[in-house]
Amino acid sequence: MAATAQGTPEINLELCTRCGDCVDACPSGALSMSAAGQLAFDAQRCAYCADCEDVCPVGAITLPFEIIIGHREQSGDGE
Amino acid sequence: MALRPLHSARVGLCYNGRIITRAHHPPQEDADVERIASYLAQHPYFRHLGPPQITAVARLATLRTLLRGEILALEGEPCTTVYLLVEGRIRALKMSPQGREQVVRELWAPQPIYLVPALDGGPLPATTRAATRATLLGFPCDALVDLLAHEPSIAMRVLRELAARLRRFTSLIEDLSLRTVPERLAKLLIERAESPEPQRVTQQEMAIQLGTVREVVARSLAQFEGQGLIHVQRGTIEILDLDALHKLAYPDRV
Repeated sequence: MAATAQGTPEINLELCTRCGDCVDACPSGALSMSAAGQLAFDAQRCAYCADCEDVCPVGAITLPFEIIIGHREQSGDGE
Repeated sequence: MALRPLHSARVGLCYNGRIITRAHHPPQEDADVERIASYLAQHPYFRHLGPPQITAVARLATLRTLLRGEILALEGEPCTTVYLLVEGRIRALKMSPQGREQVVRELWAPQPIYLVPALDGGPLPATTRAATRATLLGFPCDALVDLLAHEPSIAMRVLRELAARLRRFTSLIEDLSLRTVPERLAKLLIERAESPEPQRVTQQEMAIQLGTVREVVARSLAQFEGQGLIHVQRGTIEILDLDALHKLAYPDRV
């Protein structure tokens, strides 16, 4: 499934100190830091595992979930 | 109510014309007092007070900021200060003899911290650590107790907070003693999905609410997904089989 805006980590750039800990922690290489200290995020690579949330020293990253009741049929159509 | 201004912070703290504490309390800049007063004017405990009373309460408080990971206070220490969280999040932790850390509660603005030991005089019940950068207002315990003794309207609001907390803990005890983690998680998912005010929640927040750790929540979510109960996507947990989740969450109602 293509990443949606909701399905991406919420990064508060005002809190972010550009320490790079999240870049090191990300197991799928979804986060990177440019030479100028600009944090970049690749939604296609993100597995939403929350490792970046765990490691961020200033709490700038959160990966919240919306919990919804689905409306799909129970028969299963193989998605 | 007669209210006289604070004469000197070096002498002690003064509310309603009385010196109520002589604890160490650094003199405050007027800018700090104004900032604290503007926050207190919005706070549920104090917003019913008039501006002169708010300013008097603001003079009792000191501002403290913490970076993520910084310790606010340690379990077992005597309680000298009650805090109100202005912004950020604080986690209350208990440590097992084996060194395992358990987050027992996550606190956010405008919640008070260490209200219970301030009132019962006992030691701090848990260690507190900043989960994010946090700003707090600290009130000397004796100043707060005196304030409550002389301001029943504030005391009533504090009592309501303590009553709500007692109710939450009673429910938590029931859950911890009678339900497994998957059962508690199923209940949480249903409650969140059916809430009239849906709020997004992180796995860590779920873990704290369930009295467990994030890894166990992640494992239980994967187990539910394997059973076809839910579908976890980035940013969304979709309940696929509400009936089965209900049976898991409330086995006694089946």
